[in-house]
Amino acid sequence: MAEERDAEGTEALIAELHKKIKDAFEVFDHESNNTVDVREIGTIIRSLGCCPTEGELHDFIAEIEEEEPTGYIRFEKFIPVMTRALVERRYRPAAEDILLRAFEVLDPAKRGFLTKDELVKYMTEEGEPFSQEEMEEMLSAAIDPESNTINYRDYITMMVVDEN
Amino acid sequence: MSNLMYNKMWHQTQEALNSLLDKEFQKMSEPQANKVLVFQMLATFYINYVQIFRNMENVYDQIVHPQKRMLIRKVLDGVMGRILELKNEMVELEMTEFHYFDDILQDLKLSPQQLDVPIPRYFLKERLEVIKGREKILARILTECGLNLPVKYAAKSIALEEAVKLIQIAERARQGRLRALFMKQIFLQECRAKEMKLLGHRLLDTKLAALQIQKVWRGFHQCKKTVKEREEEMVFLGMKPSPLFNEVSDAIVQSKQVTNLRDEVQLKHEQDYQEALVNIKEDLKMLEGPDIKEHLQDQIRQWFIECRNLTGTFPDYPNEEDGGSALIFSNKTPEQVMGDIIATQEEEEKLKKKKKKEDKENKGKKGKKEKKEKKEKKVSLKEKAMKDEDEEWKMSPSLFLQLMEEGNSLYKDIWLNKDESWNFPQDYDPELIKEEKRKELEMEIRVQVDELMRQELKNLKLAVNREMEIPPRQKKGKKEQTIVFPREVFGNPRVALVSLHIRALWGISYLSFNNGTIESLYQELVEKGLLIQALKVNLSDYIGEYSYLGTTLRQVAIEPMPSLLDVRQLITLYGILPLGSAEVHERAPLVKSLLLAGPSGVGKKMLVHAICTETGANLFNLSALNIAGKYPGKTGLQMMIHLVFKVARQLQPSVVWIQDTEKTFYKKVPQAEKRFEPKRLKRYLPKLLKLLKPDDRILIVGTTHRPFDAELQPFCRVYQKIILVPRPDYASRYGKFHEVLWKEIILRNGGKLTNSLNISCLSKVTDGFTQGQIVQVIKDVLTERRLRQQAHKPLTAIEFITMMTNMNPVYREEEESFKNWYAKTPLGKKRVLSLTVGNKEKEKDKGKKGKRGKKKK
Repeated sequence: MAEERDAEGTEALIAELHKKIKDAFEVFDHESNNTVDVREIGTIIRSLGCCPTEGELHDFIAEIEEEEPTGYIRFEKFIPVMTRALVERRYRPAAEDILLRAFEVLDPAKRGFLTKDELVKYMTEEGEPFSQEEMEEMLSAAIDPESNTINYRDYITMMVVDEN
Repeated sequence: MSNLMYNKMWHQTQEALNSLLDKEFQKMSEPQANKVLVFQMLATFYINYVQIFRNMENVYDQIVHPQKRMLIRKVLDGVMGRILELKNEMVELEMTEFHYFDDILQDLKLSPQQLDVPIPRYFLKERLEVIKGREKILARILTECGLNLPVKYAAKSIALEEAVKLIQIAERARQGRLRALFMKQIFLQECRAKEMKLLGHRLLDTKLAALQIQKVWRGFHQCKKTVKEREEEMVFLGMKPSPLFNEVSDAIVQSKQVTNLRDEVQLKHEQDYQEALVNIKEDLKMLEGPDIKEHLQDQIRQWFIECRNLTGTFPDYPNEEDGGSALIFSNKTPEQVMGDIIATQEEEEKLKKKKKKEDKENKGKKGKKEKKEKKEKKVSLKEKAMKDEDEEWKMSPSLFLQLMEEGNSLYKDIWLNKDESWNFPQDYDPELIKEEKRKELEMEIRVQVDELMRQELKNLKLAVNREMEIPPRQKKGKKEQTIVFPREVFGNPRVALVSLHIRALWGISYLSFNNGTIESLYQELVEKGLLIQALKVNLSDYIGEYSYLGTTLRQVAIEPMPSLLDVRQLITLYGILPLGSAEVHERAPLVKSLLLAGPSGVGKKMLVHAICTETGANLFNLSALNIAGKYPGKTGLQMMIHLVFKVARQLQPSVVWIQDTEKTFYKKVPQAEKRFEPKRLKRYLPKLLKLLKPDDRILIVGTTHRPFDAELQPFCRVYQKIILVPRPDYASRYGKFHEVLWKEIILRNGGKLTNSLNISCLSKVTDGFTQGQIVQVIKDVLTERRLRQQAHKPLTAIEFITMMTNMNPVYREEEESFKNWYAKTPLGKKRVLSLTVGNKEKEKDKGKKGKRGKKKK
């Protein structure tokens, strides 16, 4: 009995996930032929609350791409891999305090903020560097117009994923 | 409020005190036989004094006149002490720590809330600097030895590379989500557009378009209106607080401002006053000094001559110790003076000896006396019970009545009819200072003049009589002088004496300690974790409700469980008032040790911290687990205790806290705890208590949630007062208590209250849980993360309730076991005894109540 109910529960859960994935996918399916541009895959995954690195994203795409890359991804290919990632809770977002600590590494003096130049330098030169576009978007959201600095404590609240 | 207002309050309070004192003196003389009547009388006095105390405290806090404040302080301390004395009397009379005054309250037309004994604000105000300084030092030491850092993340540092990557991931995710949202909106728009196309072009008609808009808008408008009306209805029905309910009214804000302003003025006036004391004296010395000197000299010369005329010889000059020439003019004729000089010297020697004795006795803090009294009472109690209480009862002498009487007469002499129209800002009164200083000055000048005149007399004698001068007898005088000296001078040497005493007792080489200054000892204790930082909690945070059923239950011989308010009262009376005021501590019935017993999570620890916060006391932690492994061995232990009490004494007031104190008195040490040696302290505690003197403001507080595990006898010998801390009682639970508790603590932990959080539901559901558990749940729910989410996701009751289900409420059986245990303690036993005797009487009367009496047994 219990197992049955469990199984039912999982099924319902998976159905729900499928619905979510489908909704997210549809938005980018401009031709309505169950395909999306490969460049949108990252956005879709992220809109589902996942936080993969660029590297992980790359691997993910490699897994679902056609043998002959067409530049488009088919839904049938996408959904099983994505479902698995969600069920396994891969690419889980970093907790708020971890992010805070990360910012504090960049701000060893513990002033509570970063200057624009500092942020640009770190984000475009280290790790998986940001593109010009990404950097500008980040700055437009992160910079406090009055002090022209990044108050990262406030900014973190915008960065974390609300689980619900 | 204005100066005028406070002055008026003060005068009224003084008047009330005056009449009360008169009544007391009246009642003092006539002995009473009936126990009930005696209690009624005591309780009435007690309540009246509490009222006066409340007013006086308020006045003292706000009056800015420095000289008035001095007097008020004196009276205030007196009233405080008297309250404690009366309480003690009542405890001994009724054999219980808790008293219920419902009927008297009714007679006096007072509400139960007015029984609350306030904590004088001057405890903290006057020591603010010291306390702050000490807190700073404590914090510094703690950070220095790294104890202060909350146990942060185990893996502390993230590599730069890693950090950047983390941020990039999160940021890319954010941008992705944002873009997806954006795209979704476009997508939905397109969908809608498509639908429109399918539906056709009906909307092109302007009439229809207008209708469409009107329809939607009407709906929206009505919706809004309904919500608003519903809201108003709820407020009207009293189902919801009015929107202004939580806002602080302007009047309160303003009165707070005024209070702060008054504080500043008070401080300034006090400074001015202190300066004036010096300045006025200087001025007086300049202006009036020479006159006084001449006047004195003339007087004394006159005396010489008169004496010679009467007796034929020049008189001996009185010793300095006897007051010098002041002695001469105390309304006596010269011959008398002559005779008296010799007589008084002898007499005074006797007197001094007597005083010495008395002083000693007093220093024993009338402890012996009292103990004797108590013993007598213990003995007589049983007899009393046997003899059907036909013995007469008399109030034991009070030390504070005199103090209050002094203050009262001073008030009458100086302030009662004083015209103060010139003194609008209520600054100091220079005339009063002058009067006082004149006396002082005269004393000083007299000493100088005496010196001169002594020489003169010598010369005179030599010249006129060729008498041999007799060497002044000084030796004895001097020695005794020091003994008669008042307390203040004695304070410090006594500390030294006491520590000497300890030395003798424990025979340790103290060289090493004496090198250490108090600061270094302090630091050592902090580093060892014996001296800890008290949490900032006020006693008023211990929210409770009056026990309305107390008297009724007692009448049918059911011992009510104390209410939270009762407990708070006792803590104020036994802990805070004596610790806060040296005056009171020295003379009031001394409470050296306090035991708080109750189920875990009812706020015992909090009460300990509250005592420290309210009095600015140091907190020493001598719990069995805390001292385990520290200062090993017997000598180590002695050293530790010495250290703790040395610092506690020097930096008093201090609280020595022994958590889980039953461990120290274990009947049988559980196997698991053997290695901690929990019973180490057991032998030393009684000794320590003996060493605590009335002027050492140190309180030993034990807390326990398993008192039944301890050996009763030594346990009760160490702890003078035992207070049962109950779980929230009926009134507290179903009254505002839980609601207030929930609200307060959620707010304090950074939570916000919204309409989606149903507090009253929470409080009903959580009946039976202790305060500690509620606090724990709130802390668990309100994580940093949750708090940040509040803005877009308000708190709901269900979050707390799910957490709450993991906890166990306090069960009735547990409470019963506490009650049963308490009945075995000395005071509890007596109470039971007196109750059963009382009941037997009733049994005779009615032959019915037997059952209850037996039950009580």
